[in-house]
Amino acid sequence: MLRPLRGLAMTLRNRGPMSESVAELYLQYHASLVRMLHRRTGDRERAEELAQEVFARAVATPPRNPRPWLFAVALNLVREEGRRMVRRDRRLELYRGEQPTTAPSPDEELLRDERITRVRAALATLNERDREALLLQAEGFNYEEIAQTLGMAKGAIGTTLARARRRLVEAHRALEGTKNVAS
Amino acid sequence: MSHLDEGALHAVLDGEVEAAELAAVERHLADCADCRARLEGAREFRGEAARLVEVLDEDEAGVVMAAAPAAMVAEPAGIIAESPPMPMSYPRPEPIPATPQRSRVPRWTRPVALAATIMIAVGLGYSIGTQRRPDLGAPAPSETAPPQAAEERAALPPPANVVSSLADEKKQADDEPSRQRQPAGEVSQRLRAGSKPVQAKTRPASETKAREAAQQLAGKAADTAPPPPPPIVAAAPPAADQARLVKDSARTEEGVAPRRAVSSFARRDFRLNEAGVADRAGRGPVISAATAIRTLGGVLRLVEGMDPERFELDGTGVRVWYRTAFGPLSLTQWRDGGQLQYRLVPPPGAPVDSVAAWAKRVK
Repeated sequence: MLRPLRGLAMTLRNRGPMSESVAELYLQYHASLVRMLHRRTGDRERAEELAQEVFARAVATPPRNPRPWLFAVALNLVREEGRRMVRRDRRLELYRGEQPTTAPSPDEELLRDERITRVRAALATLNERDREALLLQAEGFNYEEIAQTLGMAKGAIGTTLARARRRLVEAHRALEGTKNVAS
Repeated sequence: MSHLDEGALHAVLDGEVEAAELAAVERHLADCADCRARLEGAREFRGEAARLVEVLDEDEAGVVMAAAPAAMVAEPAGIIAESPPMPMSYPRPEPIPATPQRSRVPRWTRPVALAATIMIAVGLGYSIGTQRRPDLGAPAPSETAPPQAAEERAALPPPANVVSSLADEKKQADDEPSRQRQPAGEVSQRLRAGSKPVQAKTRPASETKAREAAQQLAGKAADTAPPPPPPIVAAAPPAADQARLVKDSARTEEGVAPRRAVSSFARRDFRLNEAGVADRAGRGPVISAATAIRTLGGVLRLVEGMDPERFELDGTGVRVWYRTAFGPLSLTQWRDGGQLQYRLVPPPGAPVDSVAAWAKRVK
C-alpha cells in the first residue's frame, strides 16, 4: 500500500538541509513525473499517488542523481503495480459488471476517448523498454539520462527510440485504418 | 562513411550526435540522397510519435496537462535547422502553467449542471410569470423554493439579466446559515470520511452528485456576486499558538491574499508578476520550500496533512498555496516584530467546518 505524503515540506524541513534539497526536487520534477506517469498508466489520480510515493522514498533516501532516480523508481512502481493488477483482473471484471451504466458521452467526449484509447492501444504494442524510453524522452530526458534510468547503454538509445517511434506510429495508423474501415 | 542506420538518424534529430562525429554525419548527409530521404522519414515518425504521446495528456475532463519540455520536439541547430520545417507543427497547448492545474469538476457534473440550468430557467420563467400575474396569488419564489433548490440556484452561473437578483438571493441565503450550511457540512463530512458506498445506499446517486456539483459550482457563483466579506478565518491555531494569532484586516487591504484575489486566482485570470503587480504573465514569484523557510528565518507554517502546491514570495513574507476540493487555499505568513504571523484564506464557498479543520491543522 502506498504511503500518503503528509505535509511534505514540513517533513522535509524537519529533516534538515538534505531534505530541503528534496523539497526543491519536488517542485522541480513533480509535474513532469506526474505527466509521465499519467501517460504511462492512463490514470491521473494514480499518477499523482505514485509520484507522491516516489518523493516519499526520496525523503527516506535522498538520491545523488535525482532525475533518473526519481523516474526509475516511478517506473518500477508502475511495473510492480502492473503485476498486481494482473492478479486482480478477475475481481475487477466482476466489480465492473455491477456498476450502474453511465449516461452516454457527448460526441466530442466520445471522439476524444476513442482517440486516447487508440493511442494507448498503440503504445501497448511496444515492449516495455521501448515504451519507457519514449515516455522519458517525451519528458526531455537526453540519451544519457534515459540510459541511466533504464539501465541501458547510451549507444542503444537511438535505436530504441527509433524502433519505439516507428512501432507507435505504425500501430496507430493500423488502428486508424481499422476504424475507418469499420465506419 | 557507410549509410546511417535508423538509430543514428534519430540521434541526429534528437541532437545526440557527438560533436566529433557530427561533421562526418553532415558530410555524409550532404552527399547521400538515400540517407537524406530516410532522415525525412525518421523526422516524420519522430514528430508523429511526439504528437501521439501528447494525446495521452487529455484527461477525463478534456484538460490538457502542462506541456512537455520543448526538448521533446525541438531539434538541434545546425544540420537540422537547414532541413525543411518539421511536419509536426500542430498547435501547442495553451499557456503553460508552472504547475499543472486540473479541473476539479468531474465529467458527470456537466449533464447535471445542464439539467439544473434548464430547471432553473423553467422555474424562473414560471416565477416571473406568476409575479406578473398577482391574481394567481402565488407566493414569492423564495417562499416556495426548498432549501436545496435555493442552493442550486445560487450555485449556477445566472444569465446576465438575473445576476443582481441572484446575488441578492445569495446574500439572503448567507443570512440563514443553518439552512445553507447544513448540506455543505454533509458534503465535507462525506469528503473527509470518503464514504461513497454509504452514500449510494442512503441517498440516490443523482441527488448526491447534484448536491456536490452545486457545492463546487457555488464558488463560481460567488465570483459574480459583490465582493464577499473578509476571510472567514484569520487563523485558528492550537491553544499554544494563540498568541500568534493575528486578525489583520489592514493587511488584507494591502492585497496579501484577500478573498477576492483567491477567487480570481481560481478563474486563472489573476496573476502576480515579480513586482507583485497583477498581470496575465504568470503567477508571481514562485520560490522553493527551502527559500520560503529561509525567508521566514528558518520557520514555515504549513497545513498539516496537506501537500503545498507552491510557495510564493509575498513582500517580506511567504504565501503557501494548497489545492482543495473547493478551490485554492492560501496560508500567508510574515515576520512582525520577530514573531511569525500568519493568516489562512479559504476558497470562497468552502464549508465552515472544512475551514475550521484547516485552521486547526496549521502547524
